Amino acid sequence: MIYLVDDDSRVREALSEHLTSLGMEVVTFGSAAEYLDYSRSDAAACLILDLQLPDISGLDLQQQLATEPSPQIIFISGHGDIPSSVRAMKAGAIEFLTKPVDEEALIAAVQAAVARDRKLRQSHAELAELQESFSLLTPRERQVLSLVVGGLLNKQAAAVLGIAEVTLQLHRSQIMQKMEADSFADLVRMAERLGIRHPGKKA
Amino acid sequence: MSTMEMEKLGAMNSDHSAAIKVTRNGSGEKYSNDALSTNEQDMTRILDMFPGFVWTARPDGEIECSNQSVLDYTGMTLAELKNNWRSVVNPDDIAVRERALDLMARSGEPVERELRVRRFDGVYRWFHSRMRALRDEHGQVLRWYCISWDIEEHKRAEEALRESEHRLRLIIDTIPALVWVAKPDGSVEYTNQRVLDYFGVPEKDLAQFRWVHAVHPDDADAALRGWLRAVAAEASYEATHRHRSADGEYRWFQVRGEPLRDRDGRVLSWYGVTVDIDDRKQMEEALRSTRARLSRATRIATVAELSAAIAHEINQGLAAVVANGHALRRWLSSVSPNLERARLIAERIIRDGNSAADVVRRIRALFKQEAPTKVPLDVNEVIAEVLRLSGDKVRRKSSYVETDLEENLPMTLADRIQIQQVIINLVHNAIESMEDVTNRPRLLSIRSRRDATNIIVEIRDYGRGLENAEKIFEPFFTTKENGMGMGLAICRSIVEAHDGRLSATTSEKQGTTFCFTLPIRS
Repeated sequence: MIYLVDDDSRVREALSEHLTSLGMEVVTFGSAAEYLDYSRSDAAACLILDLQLPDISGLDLQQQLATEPSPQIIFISGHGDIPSSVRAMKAGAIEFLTKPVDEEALIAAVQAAVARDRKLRQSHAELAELQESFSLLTPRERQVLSLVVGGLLNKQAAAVLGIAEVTLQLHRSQIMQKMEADSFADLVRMAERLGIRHPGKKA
Repeated sequence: MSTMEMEKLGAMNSDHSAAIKVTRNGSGEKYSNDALSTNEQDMTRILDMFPGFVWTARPDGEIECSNQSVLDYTGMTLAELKNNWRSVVNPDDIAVRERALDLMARSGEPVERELRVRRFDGVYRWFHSRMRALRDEHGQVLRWYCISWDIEEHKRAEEALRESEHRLRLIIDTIPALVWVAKPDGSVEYTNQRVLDYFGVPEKDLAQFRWVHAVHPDDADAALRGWLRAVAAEASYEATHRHRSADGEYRWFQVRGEPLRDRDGRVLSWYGVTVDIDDRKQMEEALRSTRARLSRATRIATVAELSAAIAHEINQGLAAVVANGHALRRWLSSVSPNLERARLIAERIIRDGNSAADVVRRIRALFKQEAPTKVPLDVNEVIAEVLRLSGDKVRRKSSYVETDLEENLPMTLADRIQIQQVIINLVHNAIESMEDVTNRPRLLSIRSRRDATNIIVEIRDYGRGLENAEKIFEPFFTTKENGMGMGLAICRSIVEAHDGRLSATTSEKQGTTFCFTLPIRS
């Protein structure tokens, strides 16, 4: 899904036509406000944004969108204004294209934007899944998890918690099951993503 | 109330009458005894009633005898006063009197002095005192005859006058201007201290001072002629010129003079001020050059803005053409080309290409604009002509026109075609702005008038008004569906090229008034 924001109706119409001819689905907007009012579908998307908009500038909109989950941004502009393009790229834009827009560059940028959006969405989804699994763990299991991924042997971890090694092993298999981890290495990676650290581990 | 102390005076009676005899001897009068006694009583009464002090003194100045006024005033008896004059004279004035006595004794001339005498309540008041001596054949003083009268009020008035004069003088010397007074013939009579200081003239040489010698050579001729003309015509004088200061530096001054006349209208003297305006002059000069620079910068900025706007406008069209071209190629190269869609896109390409070309064409027209050919022009005539030309449009849009054109409007110097363009543009805008007005008449009002220096034309519509009355003059700003946004920008540049101004005032209820001015041909 492509969102296109440009205040010039001719450009809006033509670019929309071009993207459609490339087999993409396009929704167009004449201003930033119109875009912000629109409730987007959950599909992977990309936002093509004119630098000069009648209400707020494209750069300001980019800044405003940075605080919320939003499609990747491709800027288009009438003139290659270097300071603006630097600012846009630093703020995470995929590409900065000048009008008239080169077809190759446009396709590449849109593909890159959609790919990055998809990847980000996937990783967001994975993390959400992990967080859900983690929420199933009991407080004791969370303690055990943090100790073992921190590199302690079962014996040591049991000693830290003042429980029998057998009990610890039992917790550990519960954790593996709840987190759906294929291996201990997998569990360590999950803990990493969840930001879990051994409390006593030295940095 | 004759309370003169006769007993005390008794011993002196013979002297007293002798004194009178002496003083009257010159006129050759003789007194009989009877007459004398009558005279004595009369004299006593006269002396007591005399509105002042009358008294006699010994050669050393001590009081011998006085009239009642002295005793009433001092609140002392004659006995208390005798050998005691110093007690009633202000200590600061004792020496004055001593010196006077000494001087008179030696010179023989009557002497007058002013000194302060103590009243019964301790207050000192000023008295004027006049003394004369009776002398023996060797010229030795035998007795002093004196009168004194109260001059306190006079003294105070004098003091107040002196104070006020001093204050006035201070004011005149302090005010930050050169103040001068000239005689009816134009020669300098008086100046304040600042004049002397600025020109470095000692006060004693003021009579020889010729101010025109201290005027900048370039200004001197005009300055002198202006002054002489004013003096001859007895009319106010005003001039601006440079004066050389004592240290040789020239500064700009503004000079103003007014004649003071007597009741018959004759000039008694000239009063004038000469104010240093050098700082102001220099500031004006700086302002003028800043303004010139600014106006140049504004022109450059406008050209830069204009070219950016033009580039943007054309580029947008080209961007659309290119994107549509890409799309067209895609559609045509697909397995089953959508020809209907391809035709639509091709039409858009033509449309957008033409609109870009249109921008170029209009801009070329704008920049090809030749320098205006200015001829004497009757603006009313141009308005009438435009209305004739626009009649069709007015009828078509079912609006009507109201004119209020000032008769005998003076001519302006302007390019006829260009002014026509401006008026056509404004009239058409006004008509178009009322297209969607349905609840009131679509009235277009055109008014012409003049002020002191300009012809003013107001073109008013009763449409919905504008959001921003200044932005509409920016190139490519338009409120119209198919507008280019160049009309008003061009109108303004035309009017400004004629040294006029074009502005708009607007309100939602009252519509919009465009007003432009053109200078009256001088």
